[in-house]
Amino acid sequence: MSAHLHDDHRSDGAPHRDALYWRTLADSFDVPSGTREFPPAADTPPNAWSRRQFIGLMSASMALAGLSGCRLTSDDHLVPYVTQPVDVIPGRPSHYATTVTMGGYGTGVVVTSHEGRPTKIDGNPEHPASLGACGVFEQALVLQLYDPDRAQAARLNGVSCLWHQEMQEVATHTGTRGDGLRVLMEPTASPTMARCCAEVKQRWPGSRIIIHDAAGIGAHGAAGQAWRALFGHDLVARYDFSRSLIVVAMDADPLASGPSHLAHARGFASLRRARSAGQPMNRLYVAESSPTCTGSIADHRLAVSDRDIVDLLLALLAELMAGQGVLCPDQRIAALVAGRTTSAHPSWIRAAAADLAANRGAGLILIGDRQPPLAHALGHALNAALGNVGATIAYGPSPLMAGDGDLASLMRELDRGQVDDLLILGGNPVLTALGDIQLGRRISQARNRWYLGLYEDETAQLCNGFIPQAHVLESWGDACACDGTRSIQQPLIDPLHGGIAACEVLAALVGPPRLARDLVRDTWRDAFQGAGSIADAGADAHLAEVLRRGVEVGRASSLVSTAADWSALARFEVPQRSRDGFELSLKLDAKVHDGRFANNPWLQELPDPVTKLTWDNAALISPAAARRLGVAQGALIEVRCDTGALTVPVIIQPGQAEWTISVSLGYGRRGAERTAADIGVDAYPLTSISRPWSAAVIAVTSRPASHRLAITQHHWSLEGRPILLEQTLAGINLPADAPLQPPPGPSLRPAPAHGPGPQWAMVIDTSVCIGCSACVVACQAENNIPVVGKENVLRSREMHWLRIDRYYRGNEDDPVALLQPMACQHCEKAPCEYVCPTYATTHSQDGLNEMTYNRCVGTRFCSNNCPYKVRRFNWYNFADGRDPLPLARNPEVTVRARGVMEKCTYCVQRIRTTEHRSLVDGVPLRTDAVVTACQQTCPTQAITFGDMTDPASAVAHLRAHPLAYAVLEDSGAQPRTRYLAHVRNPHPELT
Amino acid sequence: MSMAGQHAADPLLIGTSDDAALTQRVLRPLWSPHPALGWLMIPAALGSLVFITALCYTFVTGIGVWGNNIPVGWAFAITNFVWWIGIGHAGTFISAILYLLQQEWRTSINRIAEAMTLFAVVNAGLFPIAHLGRPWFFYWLAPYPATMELWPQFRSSLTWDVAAISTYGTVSFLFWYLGLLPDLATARDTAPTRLRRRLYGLCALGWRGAASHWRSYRIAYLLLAGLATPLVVSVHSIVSLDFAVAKQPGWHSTIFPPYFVAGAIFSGFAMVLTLVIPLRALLRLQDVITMRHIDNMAKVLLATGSIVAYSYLLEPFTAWYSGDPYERYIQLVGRPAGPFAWVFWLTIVCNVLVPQVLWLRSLRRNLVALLIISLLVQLGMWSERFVIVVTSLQRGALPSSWSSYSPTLIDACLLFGSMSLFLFLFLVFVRFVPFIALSELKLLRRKEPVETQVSP
Repeated sequence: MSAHLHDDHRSDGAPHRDALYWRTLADSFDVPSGTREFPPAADTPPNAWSRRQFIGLMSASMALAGLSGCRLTSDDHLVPYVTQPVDVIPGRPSHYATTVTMGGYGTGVVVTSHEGRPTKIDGNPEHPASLGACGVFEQALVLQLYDPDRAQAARLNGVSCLWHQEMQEVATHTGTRGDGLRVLMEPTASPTMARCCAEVKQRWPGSRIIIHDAAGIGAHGAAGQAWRALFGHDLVARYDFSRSLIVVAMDADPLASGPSHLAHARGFASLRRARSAGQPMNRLYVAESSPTCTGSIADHRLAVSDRDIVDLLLALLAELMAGQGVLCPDQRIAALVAGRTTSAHPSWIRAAAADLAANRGAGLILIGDRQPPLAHALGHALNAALGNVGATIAYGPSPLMAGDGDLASLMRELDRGQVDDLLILGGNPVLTALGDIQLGRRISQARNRWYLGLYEDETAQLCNGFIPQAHVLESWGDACACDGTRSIQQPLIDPLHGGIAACEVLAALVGPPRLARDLVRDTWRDAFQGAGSIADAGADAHLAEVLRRGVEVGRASSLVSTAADWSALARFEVPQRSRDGFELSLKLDAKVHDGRFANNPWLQELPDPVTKLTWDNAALISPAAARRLGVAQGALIEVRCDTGALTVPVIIQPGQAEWTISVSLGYGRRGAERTAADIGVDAYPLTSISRPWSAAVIAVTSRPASHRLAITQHHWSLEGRPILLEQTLAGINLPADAPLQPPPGPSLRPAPAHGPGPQWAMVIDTSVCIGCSACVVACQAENNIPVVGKENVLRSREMHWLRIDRYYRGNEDDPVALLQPMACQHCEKAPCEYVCPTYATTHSQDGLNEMTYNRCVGTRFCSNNCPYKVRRFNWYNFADGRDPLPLARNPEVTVRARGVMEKCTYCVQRIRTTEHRSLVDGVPLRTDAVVTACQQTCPTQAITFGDMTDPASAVAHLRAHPLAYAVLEDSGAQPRTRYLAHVRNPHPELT
Repeated sequence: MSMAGQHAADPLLIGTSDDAALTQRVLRPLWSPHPALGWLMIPAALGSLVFITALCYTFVTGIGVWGNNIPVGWAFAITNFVWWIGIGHAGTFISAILYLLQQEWRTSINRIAEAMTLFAVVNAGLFPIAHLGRPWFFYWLAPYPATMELWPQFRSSLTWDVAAISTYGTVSFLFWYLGLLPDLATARDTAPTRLRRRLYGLCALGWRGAASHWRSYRIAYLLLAGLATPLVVSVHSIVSLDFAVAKQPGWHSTIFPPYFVAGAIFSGFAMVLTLVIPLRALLRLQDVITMRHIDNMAKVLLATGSIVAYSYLLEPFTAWYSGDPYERYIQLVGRPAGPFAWVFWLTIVCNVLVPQVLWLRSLRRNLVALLIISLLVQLGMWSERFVIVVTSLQRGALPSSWSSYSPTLIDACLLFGSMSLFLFLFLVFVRFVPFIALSELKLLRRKEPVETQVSP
């Protein structure tokens, strides 16, 4: 726009005085001077500057100002309201459906926006990868948007530049074939990106698109290799947990990681809610080296090293063939099985095999992404032999864009000097590249290195050109879910720092700069017309509908029939028999993923679902290994591997495989991000192309020093207290006259008075809680819960209103994990209330235990008297945040000042909003109309909330269930929050 | 009734010929102060400065500068508060209860004990305010006529605390000042300079020693003693209810009120001994504060120490007998073996074992040993309150919330700073105020002429 305006003015030439134009009456009509026609100074002429000159100069500088922001602008984009639109009511948030991506796959979300500020991300119920739930990463994106450390300017060789001009410059000097042009990008399932990449390839046939996926999920990992070899093309497996009665997960965490984990968790939970004996309930077998969320809820968990999984699979196959008469799908597999028959865990194998054989077509064997292709092939063999393929597993085409190579191929090209221009589109590959690729060292062999990134991270520091990337909430885009369902990503806010979308960069390479919105619209229009439809109008209407719902509902890609070519088995490397000694197992982190969220304070302070560690990574070792090494929690050890050495603090983790030392990736960041600096150690250098997820340990030596680990829960034993009650499905105990625990003794305190209207209550089903911590982040986002930093977590001052308590039962080497979300229990006879000297915490008529922040003087007596210790205190002015972080706050919730107590409110702002709306609309308050933030986001729907006086409400129904109990019932506080006893479904022979 | 009869060998007053000599003897430190006390004032003043600085820093920054956390919401500040309040108890006990019981041996030490009470209450009163998250709203705990007609919640024991401590502080001050009046008048009459005569005259409130004055004085003093006596029991009982009304395991106990009162008198007498023994040596007050006084105080120490020991025995027994698993855990595992178990065992050593040596008469009369014992008892009593406050909170009902506590430098500054402030105020008192109840001493000389004439 500015370009042609600019020309317009310049063509006008020099200013000229014309008799037609006059400035004052005196000027034109000889009116006597002395009368002041204008206010003082208003008639002072701009010295020697004509209006046209002035406007010309201004328009030029405005144009330049726009350009220096390095982004294209259009006439109709996101601007603050000048005239209030009719559909916008200040104070009432808007909700937009959009898509966020992880590992290329899209997850549909609904973003809440307050007056143009995105403040909260929830799942999109219509999106197949979300089903209304949301994980920790997706939710934390809203804080990432406002991260003050985000990169803010494009630069080339240390000088700010105009990014699209530079892209055109790259395009000019690349030549006609583009032999030296390489685009390195993250995996993508975006049709628009695929189109842009295709255009790049079309313009420069010699160029190559390199795809780097640190997470190794799907087509770009071992599973992808296995499917390509077995079936001849890229596939993606879709698992139906809602029909899987027997689930065997081998080094896999399908419920809490991976692109479909939300859907998996929902499906899993649907078969996990047995409330009486005889109801269908699934049984979960997990074999893994380090505990995961999936392992935490397993009926039978086996702690085995990663390297033993293949042996375990072979043993399972052997048992199925020999013991259960299952037919082996191929002779070559039988030969493999025959080669290895011994297994260290016969009873586990026998039970799993018996269960799988008894539930053919209703079983599911899952192999983790860290396992070699052979394991995936064996997993498919098992599923095929048991008739699970086509029943609980379906294969569909991979929605991920196929690239021209991986980082290893790029490494070879860099070494040969074949790369002139390297364009890196996000992903921070210098951090996440496998150790022996040494991308940080090799990258300088490319003459021109451009990086599009959110942060000035490790990769940015080694690139001479940098473009700030638009956040997923700032830019247009699209993505596919695992099942091929397409959805659109729409911006919620104008880019805060002039960020650019990846597709815009690619488009600028091949032609005049275009906006991501236009690129996405074109892609969808083409796809619509390609699908045999008629007119543009139809395409636009379709697009508008997709935009409104956020997803193209019911348009999953069709399944592909699979016939495995087992001759490919020969191509897979058969791992050597297990070596003795320690193995270093590397894994993606539950909080920072591959390192991309390392600068996100919510995620850094989120207690790890397993270790409860914050602000760090550590080496997880088993209690047995700790005894053998003679190390204590927090002690520094040096792990020397074939690929390098690592000095890392120790966490003694019950349930860790004895010979496995697990370290999560993504820490030890060296970029310019301030929050991520000096946190943990970087384990990426120990990875290698041959073994991306492990390293052989040569020696472990204990260092004399130790490290302070900020762990939020220190004690694991229930001490025999009535906190977490358990039942087994077979022995489920439901007599109504004998409750799970004795009622509390008599109380001197009068029974609480209930007002008219609803009485709010919550029921949490511990049977389905997988500890994924999505609710913790949801609560943090909804309730403006501040982050306190490592030093304060070390002092037990974390502010989370909702925490997930984790206990262990049984021996420490092979314990049973018990999980319990714990927040304010809203006791009817609340111990906190009678000790407050200022009436700052009182009971509402509808049963809420309320905090009046204004009235709180901060004696902390309420917290001392709380049996559940769920109250949180503002020791400092924790709410202070670097700009623009406060923009992420929910305006419905008070920001608490220093010196006041706070705690879970049952999302009182949501209750009151719903009540007011029902009052205004004149309709009665619908039961279960109020949804708390934790409840809304829970992937397994473990949380139920509602009016307990309404017999039709789910919460009333569950409270009355014999499995319902109150934590510390004997304290007599009569908590409103109740729990359902954890029902497990163990194999009778393994109990 | 008189304890004096049992130890005729130890008089309460030695070798004083007449009132004038006694006056001259007792007021000498006011007119020609001992230089050592002046030098001691320098570190005490510096320490007080540290205290004030640390308080201001806390007010400005937030109590995050302390080590408190969740679950240990109360720690050093409340420990210090209970400790100082406890110390204050000996003063009122000596001046009021022993007065009513006509224990004449209280005469030489009651002024010192009362002053100690006042300064201890000053310290004790500061901590509950400083420990608030928003200390500038401390007055919300008091029932004042707010425009919103919002009262404090009287079910909360913290509001009882406010009433108890402010009453105690007021009565203690009145009692102390009333007793001072005749002596201030004596100081006025004997002061060497005009300025001092004026100042002491001002403070003496026109006391002329008239019979009517003495009559009113006697009645008022008796009434105040009667008023103060229940306070000795009530204040620390109410302080103990800060814990006992809570459901927190380790706090929820009915024996707390008597147990706290005994502990308070125990620590208070230890503090009187700590102050009196060096003061007596430094200012050569052996003829006024005799071994009789020392011996009696040691006996009180032994008696109250034994009550405290009994309470210590009773606490775990009650926990075990109640069958309450949370209480049992705290008493039988959490305290003796959990984090800060060493503080628990330090408490047992200092408060249970050490005072038992006072059964030996020779040790009761050994000033060095007594000084050490009194210091150990105070250490033990501070530790006891720390054990009650911190070890209970760190082991609550839900094991998931179990944590521990570590104090910060500011915590230490506040603890030792408050001791410095106490010392500073006490030194100022010794320098400017007749610190021995002169008029009562004169009365004693007349009442029991036989004993006072006996030579050692």
